[in-house]
Amino acid sequence: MAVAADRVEAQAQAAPGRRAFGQSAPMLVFVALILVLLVVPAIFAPWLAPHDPLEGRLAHKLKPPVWLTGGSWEYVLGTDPLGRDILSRMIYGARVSLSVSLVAIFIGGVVGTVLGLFAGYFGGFTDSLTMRAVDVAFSLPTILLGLVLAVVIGPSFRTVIVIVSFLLWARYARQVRGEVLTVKQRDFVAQARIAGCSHVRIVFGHILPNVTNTLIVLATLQVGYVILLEGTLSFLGVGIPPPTPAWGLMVATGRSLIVSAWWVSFFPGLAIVLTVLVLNLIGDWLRDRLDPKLRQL
Amino acid sequence: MRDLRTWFFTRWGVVKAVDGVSFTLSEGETLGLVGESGCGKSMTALSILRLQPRPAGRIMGGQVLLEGEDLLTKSESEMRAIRGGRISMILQDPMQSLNPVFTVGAQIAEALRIHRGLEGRTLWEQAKEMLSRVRIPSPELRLRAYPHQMSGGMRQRVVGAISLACRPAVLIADEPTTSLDVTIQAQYLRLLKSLQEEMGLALIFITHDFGIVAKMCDRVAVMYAGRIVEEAPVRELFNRPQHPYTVALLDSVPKVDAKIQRLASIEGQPPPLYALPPGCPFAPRCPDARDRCRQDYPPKTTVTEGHHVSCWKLAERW
Repeated sequence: MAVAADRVEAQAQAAPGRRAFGQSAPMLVFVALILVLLVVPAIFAPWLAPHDPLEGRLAHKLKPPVWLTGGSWEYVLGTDPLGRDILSRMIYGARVSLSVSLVAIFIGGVVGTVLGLFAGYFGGFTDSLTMRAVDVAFSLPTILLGLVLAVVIGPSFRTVIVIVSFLLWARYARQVRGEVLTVKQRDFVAQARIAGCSHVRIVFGHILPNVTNTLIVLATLQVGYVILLEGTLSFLGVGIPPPTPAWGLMVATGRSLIVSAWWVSFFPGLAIVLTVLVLNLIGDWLRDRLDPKLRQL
Repeated sequence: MRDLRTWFFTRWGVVKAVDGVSFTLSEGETLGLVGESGCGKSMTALSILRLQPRPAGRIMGGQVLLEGEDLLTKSESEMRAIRGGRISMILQDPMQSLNPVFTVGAQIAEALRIHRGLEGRTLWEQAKEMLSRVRIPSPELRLRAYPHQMSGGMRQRVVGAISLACRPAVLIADEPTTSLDVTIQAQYLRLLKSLQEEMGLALIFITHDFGIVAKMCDRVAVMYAGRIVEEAPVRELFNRPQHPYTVALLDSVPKVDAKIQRLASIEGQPPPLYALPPGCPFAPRCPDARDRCRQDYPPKTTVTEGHHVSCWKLAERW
């Protein structure tokens, strides 16, 4: 409680005039703009992309972006070694990368959160069992697991989601369990018991709302991680199958060309960086907005 | 309540936190439960609701009768209906006992929804009425406030509103005023008293403040090491305390008119509950202890109507 009170005080002092980076009005506009740039093309890809993302013309391979010598307006951000338009592939790639991340984070997050809630709340055997499973999940080598699963189910969009969710749930479970351990000690949980709430009601109605802030921050932070993970898997041939555009995959294809044709991996890389940055800023902003103590400041 | 026993099974042995506590309480009556920290007051209260810490804490015997029904034989879901519905409890610290992420209104509404199945407008109206009952000004506005926007006294009144929302028959108040400052304390106690009269509540008041006992209670039960050592109507207890422990407790209350250098205290510590001496647990600290006290637990003796004491001093052969 004391820590929370300090934070309120610190925020109250900081409130007039200066705000944290990423919370000033121009910064929020910037964040919103990037978000629109990410989401709108992802949704309207077929109408916005200038070229077919899958069709390559070898005659136009490795064209540089428009502002470099040899670049043309036809391929604004240049082409890759197969002569495919990078901008178009990025627009379609946003679709793939964002949907993989969101779906995988949603699945992993829900599973992990529920397990973490019960482990933390009930303790004892439930807790030990869940936490040992978490340890096992953490100790499994990501890549090896991905390879095995891909061999078993075959590489596809769905496989990537399964692998990524499987790697993510443990983080949620561990984090949520830790938070629940402190939240459940507080008197309002006892008071809820006294008021006749069932365990399930307490867990979902009283404890879960107290850990959502952490969940939101964790989820936004993980989008970047998942995009990278997806890229790694794709690079190894067990992720999104190659012709489909995905940012991570695009970065991976450009790796060997980084000196001669940097734009092949630079632009998708930039997209990943901006996405992660923007989602982090949104995560921070949401956390502050969701804290009821700060809501009226 | 008859002969309630809650024991804790720990690695150091069996802790008899509540060991054969009996008392009765009728409508509109207030029973004070006093004693040092760790003597089993709160555990008694939690055991009534069957919320003793588990798995270590187990109720080993006795009966808790509410209007003739034994709560100890109820199923868990029947207990849930009773908690908050017919027996309610207010905890010590109002800063901690409200959920910080919900508005006050939502928390009062939850109790009403669980126990009375109210929805929509009626639900909200009821919640508002409860807030005005606990004398919170402009209840409409306050329903939408979060707990941190209120003072300690106000929060404790909100906790009161939640506890009383479903018109319970019994309210257990576990030191509800210890974390409030003195002026707010008096205000809060007056409020509890008048709500009790309005609703015909039976009140169990847990405290270690004899000033509060004198103001609030009709009868007092003094607890020591998990047992009730003396029980009497409040005037009787103050005027003619019989058990040496009660006498010592009353002596340790500072008095304004007496000029004394040091405050009287009771020598020593209460015995550890996992290693109680065979006889009277107070014997090691008792100024009048004799051999008999160290061997057997004294029987309950009735001094006058409604005044019971467990001490060899009052038993026939001393």
